[in-house]
Amino acid sequence: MARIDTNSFDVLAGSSSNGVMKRGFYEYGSPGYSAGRFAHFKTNIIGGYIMSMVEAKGTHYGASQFVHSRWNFYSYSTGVLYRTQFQNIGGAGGLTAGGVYVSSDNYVVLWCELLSNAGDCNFTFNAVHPCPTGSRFGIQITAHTNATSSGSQY
Amino acid sequence: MADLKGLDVTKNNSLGQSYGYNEQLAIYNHFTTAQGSAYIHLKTNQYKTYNQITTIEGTGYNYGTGKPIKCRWSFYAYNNLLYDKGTTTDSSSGVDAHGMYLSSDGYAVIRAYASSVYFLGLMLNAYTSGAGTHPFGGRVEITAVAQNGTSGNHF
Repeated sequence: MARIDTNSFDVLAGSSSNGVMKRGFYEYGSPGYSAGRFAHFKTNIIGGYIMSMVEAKGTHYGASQFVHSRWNFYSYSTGVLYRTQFQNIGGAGGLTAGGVYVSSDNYVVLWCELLSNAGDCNFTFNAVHPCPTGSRFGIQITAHTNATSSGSQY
Repeated sequence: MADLKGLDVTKNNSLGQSYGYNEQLAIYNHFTTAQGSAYIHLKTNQYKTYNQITTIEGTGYNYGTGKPIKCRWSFYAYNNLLYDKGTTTDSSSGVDAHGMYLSSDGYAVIRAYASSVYFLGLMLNAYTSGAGTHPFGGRVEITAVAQNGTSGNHF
């Protein structure tokens, strides 16, 4: 059996103008029972005309739910977002809500609400950049924090 | 971090026989800046006698509808027929798995639909499997694409 021993990998499609599928580019583990159940993830996207779909997959053990959620957004010019959306896939309930905002220094931030603060919520981030603008962008999570609200943390 | 050009994850059964499964990531990326609704016909290399059970999954982001993409087509090209094993489209998907058919020259074609294809980015994964002596390991490829208003057969 082959094993790809790397923290994450990119799967490229087609030619250089086509998209990229990023697997496992960040992993979240809930910090404890008393942590706020709103998690905020700051990305490296600032303007850039980048269309993104980011996916979280994992398990919310404390809430007995699986996690499969997606954010999509268009980071247009600096500080401007279009068509933001958060959705659960296939009946997943580990995350109950989510959204996207721009930080005070203009980076795109994703947030989500865990179903409970019962702990042991872990998920991995994947992303696809398949659109005519922003294809093959190398998204990263540069910081994350837990909070008690969906209000801006960065 | 590793950069891969496509990725196949193959599993033979424990006896080393020809059935198992093969997961193929990022086999094709269709993107467009056209406006309005459209059907997208994606012709595969799965010939009508190919004898392979295949699921193709659509993922990505459709900016025109503002939604992520999650849909699937499953089929079996065998004995000069295309057995339609169903389509699924997540309720929140930005692209619908609209249907499938055999092209006039005998290849499986999957058909997608979107109410807007403006800055659509559709990435395809494929999952192949077999049963008994059926093969499974053939790579799924998209050999031709057409985007138009045709809800029936194009190829």
